[in-house]
Amino acid sequence: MTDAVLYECNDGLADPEIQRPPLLGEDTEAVLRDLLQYSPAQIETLRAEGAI
Amino acid sequence: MPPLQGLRVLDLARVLACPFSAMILAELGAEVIKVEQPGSGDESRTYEPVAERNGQRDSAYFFACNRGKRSVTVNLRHKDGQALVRDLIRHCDAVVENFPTGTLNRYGLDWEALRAINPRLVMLSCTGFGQTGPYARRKGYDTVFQAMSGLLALTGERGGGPVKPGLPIADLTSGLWITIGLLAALRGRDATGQGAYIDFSMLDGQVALLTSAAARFFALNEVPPRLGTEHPGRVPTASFKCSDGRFLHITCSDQHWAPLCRALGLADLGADPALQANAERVAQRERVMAGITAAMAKLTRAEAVALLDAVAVPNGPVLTIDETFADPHVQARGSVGEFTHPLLGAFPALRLPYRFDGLADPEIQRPPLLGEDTEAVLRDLLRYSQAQIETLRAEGAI
Repeated sequence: MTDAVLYECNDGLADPEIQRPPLLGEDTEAVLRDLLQYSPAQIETLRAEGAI
Repeated sequence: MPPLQGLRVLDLARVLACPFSAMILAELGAEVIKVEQPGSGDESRTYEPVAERNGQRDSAYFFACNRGKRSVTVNLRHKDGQALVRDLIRHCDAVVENFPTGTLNRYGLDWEALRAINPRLVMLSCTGFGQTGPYARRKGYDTVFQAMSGLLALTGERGGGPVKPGLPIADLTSGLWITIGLLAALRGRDATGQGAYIDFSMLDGQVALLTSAAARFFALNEVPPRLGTEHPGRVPTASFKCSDGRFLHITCSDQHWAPLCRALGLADLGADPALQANAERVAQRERVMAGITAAMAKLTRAEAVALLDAVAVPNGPVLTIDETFADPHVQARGSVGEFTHPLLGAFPALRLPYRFDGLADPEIQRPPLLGEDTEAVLRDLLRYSQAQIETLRAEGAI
């Protein structure tokens, strides 16, 4: 079952699509690696220290 | 600088949802040109309540959703009026309208016609049920959408009939949805260089707000019952009557349960190991509610607020709006201000609830008189000559 699409931008822009909620921390590693360009060692250190 | 400075919006709409949205855009800095029927204007100009000052009368209903706009009168049934709107479209970033489906086609002002004039235009059509679907031609007002979305059925006292919220919540939240949709489309337009059309339905807008009620249905197949001020999944959360007849609303998570019981002298309840978790209190809702109801009935509201504030249990007195406006915090935040109406003088108004740092705060502006800006817009924006303007006026097009 899905909710109705609230906006129908049928010209020029894509309609909003229902997306899923994230699992807890699912994107921690990807964000730190790809967006912040942290090294695997930095990420592991942060994890070991309880910072992430 | 106001955040939306440089944006120009054409408000082809009437009454509440779209005008509310356009007013938000106006007080955020957009130039909003409201197109109104010559002579009568937006029909909400005649709606009660009527404000009377200095021997003058005007609609406070209209004031509430039309501040900060420029008013231009245009007869949309007149071919020259339709041409005038097309001229305005060339100069606008966005247009919002709430005519019945198909009406703008008859005026040559539908999306296909307007995008041909201005390919960067964003257009939002607000209808009751949308441009498609079996109800597309149906009409409705705020309460119809409250009813058909399930909101009315969710609202009311236990065992009683449906209750309408004290505000036109379908209209007002539609105004917020419209604002979000327009700003999103403008952001997309800025990225692609191409305009966009948005089909927004007020029923869709209400269905999309079902959120937590829908979550209960999706997860539990439960149709939430009417529970008055109680919460279907959190106990205790409710308004309780105090000894002075006033009501205090309490909302309680697990960490507040023990302090709440201590503050209210309910040691037995607070110490009961079977009531420490919310799910357990939900299961014993009647027992919990009975205990707190009895305790609150022994306290004045002010006494209860003091006791619960002292132990950081979230609570809020159920205020009437005169009490809200007099509340020292509401006053300190400047939530109520005023504008100066050219005929009535100073009149109160509600500020937009944003306090910017880095951009200019929204300021309360005044609503326009009917057609107050017609001549200035035609002359300065559209570069019409005085003779053209006089001809349009003589022909009844403006």
